[in-house]
Amino acid sequence: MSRQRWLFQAVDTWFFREARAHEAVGVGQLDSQFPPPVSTLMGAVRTALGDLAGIDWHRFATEQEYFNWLGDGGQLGAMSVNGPHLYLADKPLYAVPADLLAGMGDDAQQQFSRLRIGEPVRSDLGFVALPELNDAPLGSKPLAGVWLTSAGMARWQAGECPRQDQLVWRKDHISNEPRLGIGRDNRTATVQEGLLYQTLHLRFHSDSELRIGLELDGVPEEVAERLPSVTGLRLGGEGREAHVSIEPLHASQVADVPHTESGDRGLILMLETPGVFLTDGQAQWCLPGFTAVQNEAGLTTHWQGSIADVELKLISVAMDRSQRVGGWDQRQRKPKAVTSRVAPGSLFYCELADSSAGLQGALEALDGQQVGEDQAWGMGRLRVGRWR
Amino acid sequence: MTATTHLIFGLFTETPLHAGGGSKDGLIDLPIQREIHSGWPCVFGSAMKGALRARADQLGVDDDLKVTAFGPDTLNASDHAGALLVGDARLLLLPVRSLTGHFRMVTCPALLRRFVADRARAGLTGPIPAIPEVEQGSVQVKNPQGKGDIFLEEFCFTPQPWSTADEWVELLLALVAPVPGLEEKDVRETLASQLTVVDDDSFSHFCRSAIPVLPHVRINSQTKTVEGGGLWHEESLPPDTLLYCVVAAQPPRSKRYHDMNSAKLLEQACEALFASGPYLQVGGNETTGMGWCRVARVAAELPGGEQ
Repeated sequence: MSRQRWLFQAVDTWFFREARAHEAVGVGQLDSQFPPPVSTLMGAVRTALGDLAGIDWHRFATEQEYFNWLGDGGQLGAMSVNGPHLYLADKPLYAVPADLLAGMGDDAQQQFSRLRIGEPVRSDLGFVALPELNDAPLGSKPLAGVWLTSAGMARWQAGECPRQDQLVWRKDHISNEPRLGIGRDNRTATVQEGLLYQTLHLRFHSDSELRIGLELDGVPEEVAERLPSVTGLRLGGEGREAHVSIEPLHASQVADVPHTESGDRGLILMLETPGVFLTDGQAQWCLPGFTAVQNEAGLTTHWQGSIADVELKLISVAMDRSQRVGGWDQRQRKPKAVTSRVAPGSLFYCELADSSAGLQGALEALDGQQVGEDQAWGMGRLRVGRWR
Repeated sequence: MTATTHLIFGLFTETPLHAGGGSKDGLIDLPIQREIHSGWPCVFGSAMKGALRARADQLGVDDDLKVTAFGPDTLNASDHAGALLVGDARLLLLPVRSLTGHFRMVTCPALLRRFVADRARAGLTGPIPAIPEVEQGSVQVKNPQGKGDIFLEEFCFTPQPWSTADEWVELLLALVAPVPGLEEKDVRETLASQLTVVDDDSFSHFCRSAIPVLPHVRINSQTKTVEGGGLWHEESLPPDTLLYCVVAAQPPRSKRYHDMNSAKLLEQACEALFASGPYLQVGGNETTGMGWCRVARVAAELPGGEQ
């Protein structure tokens, strides 16, 4: 089996339909998601690999001859994915952490600040600590439409705010392009009744080097050695093309882990990719396997569980609204059920359950771990940061 | 991947082309489609695909081939995807009025740069002339000597020599389908004399100000007067505009054609569409003669990479 990095670049526009139907109540214009769900990217990848392997797709749907390694829209067979990540040229970008706020400072310059975790308060969750403002300028709000460079991510991991030049703004690379479409009856050369639709495509600027990357593992050697270095693939809705470059990977790049200092309260786990937390009987925002711990008054004070054999106390959480993801099941020819995923950039503030254990060792053990469901699809990958 | 095959369609407009952008833009009731970030006119890929499919319908192309290439109709859209990925038709040469002579075919370095990148993506090889660097206030043309200043619309430009103009003319000529009765050397000479490259900012301005906007009225047949509310302004790309559209074919998914490779399918689809003539109607107002384009095909697998 071999590993490759697949990098997708827009040719003109892309359309990754939000998880609503054209005919759904309240839908005027259908928005486009970005980055697209990993299932969309893997649909394109699996199609390309199947074509290269000479699969007869009509038999594939019933006989599953290649199913063991190629999988289907529900499970990936022998393959697994790390990603998707965005890249600017060949430099990776990261989702902006949910605790990062931007506001206007006294000098009329944009000023970044980070949420801090306050003292426990009584709430509907129990007697728990919640994020609060930390000397942020008035009107500060979470950053949206922006990604962090590696250097910016390293500063956040070290407990600092990224610098302005370590942010990559979506508006500098992508514009939303509204489309008004019709279904045309070519026999009468008129619009088909009820087939007027509005969509919002993503138009990539001519000079943009923004790309979507996937690290793919598990492609059989005999297929992998025939992979080209560049190709064109259908990606997303409305048959838009992606220019795809494929490069072999020999080992995963190991990310740097920040150095802890004495006085650090704990660590922050950041979701680098969306999380699917579906544990029975547990709130979908909470780290899988973590259970509520209550005080003598019966109020929850924190949640406790372990990841990679590190026992953790989950003290607080900062997260954006969940992502709603649907899709199309080509095999069954019907829409997939819409599900919720914990957004990338969501933060879990943890203390070590055993305070005598080494914090640095815990950071090293936890960085790059995955939590939750669908890990073969790259879901729930964690990065760690200092909780100062 | 051998699975995908590319082809470039050159689209030379013979009549005004109105591919509607959908929403009112200032004083223009019916603006044309434009790329949102640059404002350059274009024809969205969905409109191009619709135009190609409509031609297939009009010509009575075999249903299986049509469905294989363009996909099933809306009611059966989930059966399989069409094999063709039709890109946006992108602007390359815009005719602009000139007070100092015949109109000029105007382009800019950014458009040429993108065309070169699209050629490479389509697998076209061969020498590519250097992209000209144009200063603001000047234009580059083949023979500037003795011409004096060149006016484009109301703007005055100083002509500079364009050393690689002939090579660019050859490259662009491949996108203009030949017509019986028009000698290739005449078309080449005309293009060489009209081809003008301006700086990117000036070109952006022409894309806003030099596109025809025509008023239309709706006449009441009984009174022979304009109906109330029956006045509108409509924008359209002028005749003699050169666009190009990159089309990719993926392996067919229909039962009848699933053994055919993408190159063969693309060849068959093109033959079915254009064997009877290199013409395609694109955009609206078909019944008033608008949107007729002459279509040239440029493909990598043909001898020399182009035809």
